[in-house]
Amino acid sequence: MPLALAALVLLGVGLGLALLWIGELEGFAAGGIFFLHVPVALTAYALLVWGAWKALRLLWTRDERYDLESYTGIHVGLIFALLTLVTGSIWARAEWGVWWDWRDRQLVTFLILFLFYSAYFMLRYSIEPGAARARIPAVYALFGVVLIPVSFLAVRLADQFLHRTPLIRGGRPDIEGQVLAVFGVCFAGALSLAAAMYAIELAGKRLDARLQEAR
Amino acid sequence: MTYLRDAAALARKDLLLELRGKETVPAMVLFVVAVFVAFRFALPQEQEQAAGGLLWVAIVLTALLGLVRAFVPEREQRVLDALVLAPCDRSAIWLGKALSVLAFLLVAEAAALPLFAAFFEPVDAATVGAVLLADVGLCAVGALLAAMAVAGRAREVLLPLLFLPLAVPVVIGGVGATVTDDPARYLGFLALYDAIFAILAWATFEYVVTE
Amino acid sequence: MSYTWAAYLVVLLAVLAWVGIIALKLRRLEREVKELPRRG
Repeated sequence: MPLALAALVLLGVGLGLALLWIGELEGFAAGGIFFLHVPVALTAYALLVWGAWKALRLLWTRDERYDLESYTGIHVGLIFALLTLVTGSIWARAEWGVWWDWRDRQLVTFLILFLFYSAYFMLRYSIEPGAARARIPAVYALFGVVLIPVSFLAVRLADQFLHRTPLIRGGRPDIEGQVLAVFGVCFAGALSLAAAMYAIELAGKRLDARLQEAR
Repeated sequence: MTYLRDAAALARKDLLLELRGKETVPAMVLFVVAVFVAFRFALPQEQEQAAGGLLWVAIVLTALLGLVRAFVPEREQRVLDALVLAPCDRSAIWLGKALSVLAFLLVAEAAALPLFAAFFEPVDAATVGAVLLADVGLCAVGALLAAMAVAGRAREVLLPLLFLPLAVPVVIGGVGATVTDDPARYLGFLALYDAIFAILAWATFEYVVTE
Repeated sequence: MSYTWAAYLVVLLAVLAWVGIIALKLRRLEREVKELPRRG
């Protein structure tokens, strides 16, 4: 099983690599970072929503199984959120020469979410092991997923009084078929990478839990 | 409507405790004034318009101060377990707590806003409206997060970490209402924030508090 | 051009770091599993 997952990881990474290279050739504004950054960002969102969904299932059914699934989803989601911030920063540097630009809505929203979900782990580990340790972070995860659109809207509103010139991402070109195809494959690559990481982490955590019980 | 009566009873208990002990609200008022003084020196001469924005930072931090102490008395006297066992809807606890913190915050702001108007710049109706709306949202979310924070070992130390990311949209809404020519849009946003998060907090509080 | 590769490298390094951590964890788990029957 781990072998299959490792293969999936390699597939994701390899595909992404190959298509980034092609993206470069297409002559994008800042090279092919667009094909890396945006799929990673979307995957991060997907993972966080997945984590929140599992959290909801936990609260609904009180089935402990969902706790690890939610936690792992959010953990991998946080990793991808961090990668989103880093690749976004590199993109900003490549395109505008600065490491950070507050006018970039997507990035600022991700920063807020990153802070929020980092606190998730502090919350979780401050609670003694038990039912509460599963339930309370689950509620927090639900707040997080609601925060995603709210903070996106808020950051958008903030543009009006913060900066007279909102940022327009140079890399969002006319979506011709070719570009869409390249993007699609990179997105698929990022998702499969995330899925593989999720599955591996989850298996490891479950194994750990069973070991704890066996002792 | 025993639900509302329960929440009101809980809120009244907190208010009476505060009237007797007089710990939280004076601390909040002093804190706000101290923050204003710090702001005065933080703002260089040319940027005096930034004061509007700083008002909101002050409000959020003051709300945080009030919230940090929100469930501490319950925790210390193990009252929370008893409350949870009591025959009332658990979320009434949340509502009662949110209402009492809201009351504290309003009192502190009643002192702070005139001072701000005197120290920095006048406070218009839109700002007052925004403050009221923001308070509701901050207390609704904060009361739930305070219960979460108290459930763990880190307790009050954790609350700022949990609270501030969620407070950012409120700051944006508030600053927008204070600073721009189109406050209605931001007031609408604050109302939306309040509605969404109050409903969410009301619905999920039970899961935070039960064993 | 180089920025794209830098970004890609960052992602790759992050994934490799993650793989490394998981591998270490798995090795530790393996060791504990082996010890179990002995403790019975």
